[in-house]
Amino acid sequence: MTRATTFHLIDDDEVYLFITSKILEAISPNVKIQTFQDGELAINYFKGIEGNSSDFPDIILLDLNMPFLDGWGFLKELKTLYPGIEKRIKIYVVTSSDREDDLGLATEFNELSGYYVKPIKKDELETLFREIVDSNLESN
Amino acid sequence: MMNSRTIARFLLSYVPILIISIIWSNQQIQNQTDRVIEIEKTQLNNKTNLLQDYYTQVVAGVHFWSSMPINPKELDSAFINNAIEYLEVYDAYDQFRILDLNGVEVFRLDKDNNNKVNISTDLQDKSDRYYFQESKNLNDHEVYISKIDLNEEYGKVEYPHQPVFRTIAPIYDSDNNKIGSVVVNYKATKLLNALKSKSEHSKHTITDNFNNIILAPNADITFLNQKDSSLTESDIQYTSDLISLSKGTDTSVVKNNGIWLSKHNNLADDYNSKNSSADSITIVSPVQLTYMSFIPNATLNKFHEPIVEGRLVFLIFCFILLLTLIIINNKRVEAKVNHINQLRDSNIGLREASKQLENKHKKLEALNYQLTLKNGQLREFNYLISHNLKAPITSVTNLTEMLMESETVEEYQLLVPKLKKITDRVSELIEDMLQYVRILNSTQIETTQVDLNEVIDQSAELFLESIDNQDVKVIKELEEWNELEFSEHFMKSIIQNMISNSIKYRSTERESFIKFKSYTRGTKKILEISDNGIGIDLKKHGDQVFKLYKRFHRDISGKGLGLFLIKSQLEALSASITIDSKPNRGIKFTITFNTNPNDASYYIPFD
Repeated sequence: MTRATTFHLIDDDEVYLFITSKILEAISPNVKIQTFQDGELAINYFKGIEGNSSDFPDIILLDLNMPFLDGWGFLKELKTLYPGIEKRIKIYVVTSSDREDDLGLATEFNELSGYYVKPIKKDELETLFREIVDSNLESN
Repeated sequence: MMNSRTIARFLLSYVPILIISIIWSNQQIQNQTDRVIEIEKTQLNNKTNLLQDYYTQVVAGVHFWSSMPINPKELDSAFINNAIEYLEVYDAYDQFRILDLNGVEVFRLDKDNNNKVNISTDLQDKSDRYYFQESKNLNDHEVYISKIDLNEEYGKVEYPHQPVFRTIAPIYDSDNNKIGSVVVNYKATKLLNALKSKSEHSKHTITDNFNNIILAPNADITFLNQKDSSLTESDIQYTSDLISLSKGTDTSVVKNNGIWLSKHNNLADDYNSKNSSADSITIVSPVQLTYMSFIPNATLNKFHEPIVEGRLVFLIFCFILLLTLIIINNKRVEAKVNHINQLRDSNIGLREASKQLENKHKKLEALNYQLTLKNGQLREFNYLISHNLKAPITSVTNLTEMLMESETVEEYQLLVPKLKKITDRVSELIEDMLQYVRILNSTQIETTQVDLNEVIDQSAELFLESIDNQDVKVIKELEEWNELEFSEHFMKSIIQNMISNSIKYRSTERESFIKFKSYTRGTKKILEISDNGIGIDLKKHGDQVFKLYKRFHRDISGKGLGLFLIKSQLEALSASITIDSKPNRGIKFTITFNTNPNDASYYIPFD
């Protein structure tokens, strides 16, 4: 039995979190999903695990526009919390913003593995999921 | 054209010319006068020389007769014939007489009117006559010459007037005893004629030392001592002037509209000094003559006329020349001034055009700023729509798909509330958007004089509960201004939001307040709204503060609409807002109002 692939969904849209979780569960039963309603809650989680790598997710789907701490703020804090985190977690921006300044800012973060504009489709998620599983297999 | 500066310039150049030419011409006139005087002096000298020569002959003549062997008591016929002959030949001889030692005539030749010589039988005693008295002591080689006067016969002046003078020489017998004297009368008429001025410029006068005028242009005033003539008063004055003038030394005097020149001549002294050898004749004579020459001003003026005329012509020429030059120069200066004025005018025009351009540029800048602002608001709006509307719609699509695929009631019960949540959120979003769009859309917002005092008081009433509980104290410092042109609706909304925020984010650790303070910077009215609440970390959230649905405090309810609307409302009326805050140290908003809120062209971005 392979280890379950862990997803962190960070988004202030409650319904989006529900729907995406449902889609991911439909793709594979072997997923573990954790949701956060804003960047601050998510970063509090990472502060809480105190570097325990087993508590790191495999993948983060990060919204940009959120209250209290937005996506960019989350990335900055995560970066200072865990330098080189991109080697351990694949982080994807999933946002409704197709603004150029957001896209431009995205290229400045090496920690980002990709950028999706909402709505993210089921087959996109499937591809994403498979990539993760494959890379996990290789590393094993 | 002939302004005072021109006249001054003209005078400045003309007056020196005038002065110099007058000085120069006066010098010329003086020189001319001097020359005329010099000529006259020469003439006078010539006259005295002439007289000297004349008297030399006269002396020689009388001496000749006196040196003849004469016996007054017994004159031989040869001598008489000789004398008659001489008298006939020489015009100037008038009488020939021989007097004895007592002054009695012993022989006498007269000339009648036809120049015929007669031996007079009517012999007279002349012992009383002045000429006998003055000559009776004559020695050998001495000749007496009398003054010139009118001839008298038997104590009466002979008529027609006959100016004469007498020469007398002593005669001696063979034993060298003085036995009498020879008296020769000379007619002075010819001599006087010769002495008259030959020059047309001057008039000559001769006076003697007996206050007699011997020669004058006006014959009436001559020999007044002997004449019984009646003179006019001016003649008398003139005569006395003449006499007084003649007393002076050789000189030239300006008097009676002319120049008087005088030269004194002592007959005897002059002659004797020239003939001083042992055997030469000595003249004895009391006579001193004064030659006077009068050059009238009219004559002098005639000499000066060319100079004066020349000067006048020169001055007129200079006048015209200078005037022409100055007028030409003036025209040139005028042209230059016109040119400069034109340049200045065009310069002013250019400056005005430039100013207009600048104004237009400023208006364009302001417009551009407004457009940029609007553009930003539109982009913001677009973003808000896409972010806040797209997501729910996508979710609705996904949820409906799920619903269609769902098979169990449980699934329905799970999914339908999600749909409800989305629709609630969307309707709320639309509500918020409408508020925003209403602000964006209003091109001409109704503005009035808003009383800030009143708005703050009214707004505070809405939160009476909190304020009464001393949760937040409202402080007003509106001394500098409390009225401004603005939308009352917007102002109320802004103030309410501000008070609401200050209550919401007050600190529990201290007594809270919200303070409204008005002041001006330059021409702009500024409203400062500050509190001592929990503040905000601008390092974290600085660029997010005025954005929609941004919340920074998890434990305090709020949806992040207030500041977004405040900023939109302010920007719609050309006002701007800035924020300053530190966590737990309160917050300070600074609102800068525009003078004319609806005119974008007045808007200069606040930096």
